[in-house]
Amino acid sequence: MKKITVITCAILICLFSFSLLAMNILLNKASAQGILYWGSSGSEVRLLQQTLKRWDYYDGPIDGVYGGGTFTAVKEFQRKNGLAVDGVVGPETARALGLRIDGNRPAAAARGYTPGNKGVSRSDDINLLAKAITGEARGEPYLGQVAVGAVILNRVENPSFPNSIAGVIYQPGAFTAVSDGQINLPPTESCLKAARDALNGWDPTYGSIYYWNPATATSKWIWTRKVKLKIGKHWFGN
Amino acid sequence: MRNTVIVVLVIALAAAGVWGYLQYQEKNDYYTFLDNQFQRMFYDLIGSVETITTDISKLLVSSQAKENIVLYSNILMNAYNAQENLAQLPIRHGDVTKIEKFLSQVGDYTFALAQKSLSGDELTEKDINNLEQLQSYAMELGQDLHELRRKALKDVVWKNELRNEGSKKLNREAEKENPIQVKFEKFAERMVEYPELIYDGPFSEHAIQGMKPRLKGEKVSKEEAQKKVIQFLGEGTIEKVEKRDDARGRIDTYSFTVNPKNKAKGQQNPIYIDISQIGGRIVYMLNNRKVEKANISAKQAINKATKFLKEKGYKSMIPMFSLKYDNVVVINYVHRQDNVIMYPDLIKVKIALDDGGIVGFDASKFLTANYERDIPKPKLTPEEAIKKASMRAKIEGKPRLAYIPTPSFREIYCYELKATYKGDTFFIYINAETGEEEKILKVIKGENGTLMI
Repeated sequence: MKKITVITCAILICLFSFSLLAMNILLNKASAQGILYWGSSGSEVRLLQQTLKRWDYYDGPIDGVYGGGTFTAVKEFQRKNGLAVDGVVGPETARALGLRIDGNRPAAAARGYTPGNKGVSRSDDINLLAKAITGEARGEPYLGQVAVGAVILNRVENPSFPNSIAGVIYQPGAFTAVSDGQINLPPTESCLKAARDALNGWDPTYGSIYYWNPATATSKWIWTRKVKLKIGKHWFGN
Repeated sequence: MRNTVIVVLVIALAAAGVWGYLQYQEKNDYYTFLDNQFQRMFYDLIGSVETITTDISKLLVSSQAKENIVLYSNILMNAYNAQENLAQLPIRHGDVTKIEKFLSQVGDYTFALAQKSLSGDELTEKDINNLEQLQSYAMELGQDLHELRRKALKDVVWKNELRNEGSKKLNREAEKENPIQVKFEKFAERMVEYPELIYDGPFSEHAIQGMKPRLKGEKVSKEEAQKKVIQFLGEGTIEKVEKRDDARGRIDTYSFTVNPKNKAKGQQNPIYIDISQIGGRIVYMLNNRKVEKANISAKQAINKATKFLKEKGYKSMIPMFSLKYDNVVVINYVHRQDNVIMYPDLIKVKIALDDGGIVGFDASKFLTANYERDIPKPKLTPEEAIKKASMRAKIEGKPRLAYIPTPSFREIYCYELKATYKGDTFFIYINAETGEEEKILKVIKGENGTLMI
């Protein structure tokens, strides 16, 4: 006896959740197709009630819930306008009511030329560059920070490196601050300024594409580069 | 009691084990994901190099200009893709730098040839020779990549490459045996005889070297240079001048760090200044002092900057556009000779809006490019230039003459036309000799100033 109760309960729970799911799908489908019926709710129903009220079919509250009052009013409207009397606002009834109930989407406007510069800005470049400088050289003198930014920009212009600021900064193994995640530190004020100066064309490195810290550099290869100048702890060259 | 402890410990151990296993699985998922990315890049790289090889061969047998353009753009696209993919693989930069340069130049060179083809020029003997060499290098690179894939990239290998970057010392021995590095190194060695390509493009050999400065004059001594630095910054404003290491770059300089006088404690921002050894001209100056508020307008700042340049002997500079941020204004000045604007001769001045002081100066472009130009009479009249410009854009005002720089340091003598199209402003440059449209710049006007792209 106990067993049967348990099984029944389980079956009931299953059925219930299944029906919930089914209802959900059905409801989604209905609203997607733009059909309103007993039980619908939302701004579209509110719009329907307002319209019906204006035309004296409906005198209930404008509450956005499709209940008995709305149902009767819709049937009344359908009868008077020679539509199928089913109390459901489908495409035809909606058209007769002058309603747009498919999400009130405006018709796709013809696309034309859009003047202005909303999509064009250097702020992302400045920010990314400032983060890279923060990761690599936040302990350096200001000039050293501008120099690191300038090297990154010189690399963008160089055929041996990727062609964008992001490409250069995120090149695997290129910068230790990127490999160990220090690039994700918030940029310091000084580094933001340095990034701006570098992007505005100040290049204290005179076109260098490499820099290294002679105290910590592990790559043998970097020592084959020609040194052009030294700023702070870094040597610059190409 | 004892039993409870044992049970707790066993549970803790089991939990730790499960946690560890889950971590291990998660790590493996990340590795696999990364490895898949790298494998995809490598396959794409091979595909692009193959296409480059065959398309260059096709180019050599094609006679139709139309077909050529299609091939050129296809090579350009594939070279760009190959370079992108190679640059993002975890291979030591030193080993692939020559290959990356090769790929960049293949794309850039074919783009230059495409432009040549558009203006109706045929390939010269030298171009054919260059293309043949590029094709053979591309083919070799393709072979190497194929072999590498067969031998080394059979299963998950890229993760080891990534780790090597992190712990080089431990892996130095292992690295010696690494087929990927070895293969790329070998190819780089063979690239030694790779031709130096000189053509009209940003990656041409002469453009990479950088332009040789036109700056002329006597070599000045260190003491003279220091005197000039003090003069430039204004006597009486300086507390201390320190010597930094000199720079031996495109322009050899004496470098100084200057401490200004009368600064509040903790605000001792040094001024960095470089002066050329030849001629003793200030190359750049940067003062990173805090500018708390703006007391003067951008327009007043421009007047101050213009006056400053006049004092320093730059008499014929005109302000072209400016950018305001953080209470400073950066103004771009260009040189004007006989009413012709010389865009290559650029000087930047940065003004602090609190007291109108100069907090930045950069004449490196001017010192490199400026010389007394022999300006010819333009073949086109301004009216003819307007006719050559786009029929859709509306031309405003009178065209003015200008020299504009190309990425490979040539200068083009142009008419500059201001044009508008549905509310956007552009500058269109029409060659004053041939009437060709050389360049279009779009003006990005923000509340903080003007930017040209």
